[in-house]
Amino acid sequence: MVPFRNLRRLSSLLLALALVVLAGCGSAPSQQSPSPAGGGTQTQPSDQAPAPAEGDIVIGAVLPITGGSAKMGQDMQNSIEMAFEEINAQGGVLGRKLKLEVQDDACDPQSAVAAANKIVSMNVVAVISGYCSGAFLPTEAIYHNAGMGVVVPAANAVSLTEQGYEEINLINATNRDQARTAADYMVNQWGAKKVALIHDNSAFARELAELTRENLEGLAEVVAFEAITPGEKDFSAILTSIKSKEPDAIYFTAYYAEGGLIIKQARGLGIDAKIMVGDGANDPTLVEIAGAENAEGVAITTSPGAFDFTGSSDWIPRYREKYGEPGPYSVHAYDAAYVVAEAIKQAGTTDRAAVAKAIRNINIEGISGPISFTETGNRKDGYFIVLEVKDGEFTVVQGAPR
Amino acid sequence: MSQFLEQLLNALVIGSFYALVALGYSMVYGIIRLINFAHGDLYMLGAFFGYSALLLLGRISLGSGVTGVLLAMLIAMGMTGGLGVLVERVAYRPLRGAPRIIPLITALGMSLFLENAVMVFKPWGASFRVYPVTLGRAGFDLFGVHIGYAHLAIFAMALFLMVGLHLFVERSTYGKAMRAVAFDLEAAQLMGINANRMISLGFFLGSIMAAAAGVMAGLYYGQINFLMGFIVGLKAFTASVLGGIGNLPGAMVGGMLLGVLEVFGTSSVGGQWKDVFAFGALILILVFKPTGLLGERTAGRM
Repeated sequence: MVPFRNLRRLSSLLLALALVVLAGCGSAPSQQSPSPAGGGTQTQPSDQAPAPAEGDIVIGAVLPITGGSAKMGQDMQNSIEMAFEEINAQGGVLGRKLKLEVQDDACDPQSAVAAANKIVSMNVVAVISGYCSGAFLPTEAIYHNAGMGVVVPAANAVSLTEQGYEEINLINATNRDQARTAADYMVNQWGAKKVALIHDNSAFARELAELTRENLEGLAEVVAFEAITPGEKDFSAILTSIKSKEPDAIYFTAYYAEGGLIIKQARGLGIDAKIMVGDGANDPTLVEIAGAENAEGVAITTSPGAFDFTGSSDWIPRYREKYGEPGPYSVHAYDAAYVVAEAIKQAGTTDRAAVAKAIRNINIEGISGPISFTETGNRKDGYFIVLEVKDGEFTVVQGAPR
Repeated sequence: MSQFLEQLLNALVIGSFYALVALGYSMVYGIIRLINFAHGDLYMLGAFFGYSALLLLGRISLGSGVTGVLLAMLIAMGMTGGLGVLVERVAYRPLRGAPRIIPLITALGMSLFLENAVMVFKPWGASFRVYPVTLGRAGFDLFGVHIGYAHLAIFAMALFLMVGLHLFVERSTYGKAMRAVAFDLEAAQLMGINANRMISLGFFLGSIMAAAAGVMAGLYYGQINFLMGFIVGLKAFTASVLGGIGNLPGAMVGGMLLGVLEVFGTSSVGGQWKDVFAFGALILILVFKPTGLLGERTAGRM
């Protein structure tokens, strides 16, 4: 009796779920219907009369507003709002104001898919989304089906641009660049012969760890390749077994909350190997969590942050005045907002497909340098830098290659 | 050998946290047969109350010493205990006569409510908070094993609280009354026991154990955030089932056992298999001894 009741409960739940999914699929093609006109308008944007002002132009943002990465999401939302305010103060785009519609992906694939479906069903022209690659990846097809252009401020797993969708564009350089930088730094700067790699099984961190292992081949021995569970606080068991393998360097590829704890606990266990962390751990909180004395000398591979760009010297005070200290992706999100605005301007229309095409062909000068995309949607000339913690501060030890 | 002992020490610390939180699950289940899924969040709230207490005590230069830490812990335990009672009063008591699935869903809702309330509460917020005081890594070496004072302090504190709770439940009049309510709520009421008060007391005791664990986790790991209760809650629930849910010594044994399983799972097979070990043990127990390791030893549910 009881299992039978449960079965019925389960099947009705599945039915409801199926309906939701169907509804999501159903709405996508209907959004696409105006898109055939897109190609035409794109070729002759200058002839277009300024589009009639039919209210605000709505831009979507799907970011982690809650959950473990909520801080990053809020940083990015601040930047986008700041950019839109500036653009609107100068008359907006096509004579209309830009309006931001924020949805929460909580850095979680299920929530991200729900949020993306909601965004494409709304009157949204283009979207800025993607901090956690793992959460962003499953939403790509939804945007693709809706023909909606996406500018990705932070997420940078290699797989993101391997689907061949022409709507997805990354502001950040990818894991391939990061893995190469990390392996090179550990081997050539630190002289590491034995390396331990730790990831957290997320799409992004696992990929970075695997790519780093490939890059280390023939240069150093990978003595440990371990995964932790995000959200946990005690990594002493993993670290104790890594300790017995005596690595020269440890590279942790996931996020700052666990990164700080790993540094702290490794030092507490008497591990004196050099420690390097990936760009997901690039946040001052890392040093706070690890404790300044433990974090000293820790290296971070990261895409250039707010402070490393030439364009940021007058941008930072403007941001600070409004929202306080900028986060590592504040500049990227700000640039993403300008890419979207400029693309709409160049497309001369709010048609989704035309805007998506204009985003791919964008060529503007952002705070993070010149922004244009390759035919796969990667940032042209993207690169990673290396920071080290010196006296508790992140200091650039290896800057731009050019 | 020294690696084995080091891992054992790691296991005891993790196990202490699980055991303290597991006690609350077991206690509440024992009395009103409710799996209080909001219990992990009381652990989180305990950590946050301790955080704020330490900040405030730091301002009157009391914060960083042993007195300050113990005082902050007491404050956090008191506040969280009160909150636990409040949660029971507003969310579970009105549903006392309802089918068991309903308070269970309410508990899940309460868990989400508490997490998000902490997130939007400005002084706490969404980002990770660094604890104002953290336990040092100082210690001594014994047979080549580094034993931190922090490890010992946490283990001793957890043991002290667990023994204290056990004695209270077994020896005091209130404990007796609680056990009576757990055994048969209606008969206990007929004997003149105020059942609602005993249930509140159960929630209070469970919550202060969770709060103590939360504050110690903050002191030990140095970092807290509003989602920290989720995984610990899940693991502590597993621990209480391992030991026999409703059975207090079982919760302690289950917590320690889960810590050991996780640590040795990690060191023998690899970190990604840790949870497979922990939850695999849960499945085995449920299949072969559904009452848990110590579940049948005591006649009553406490």
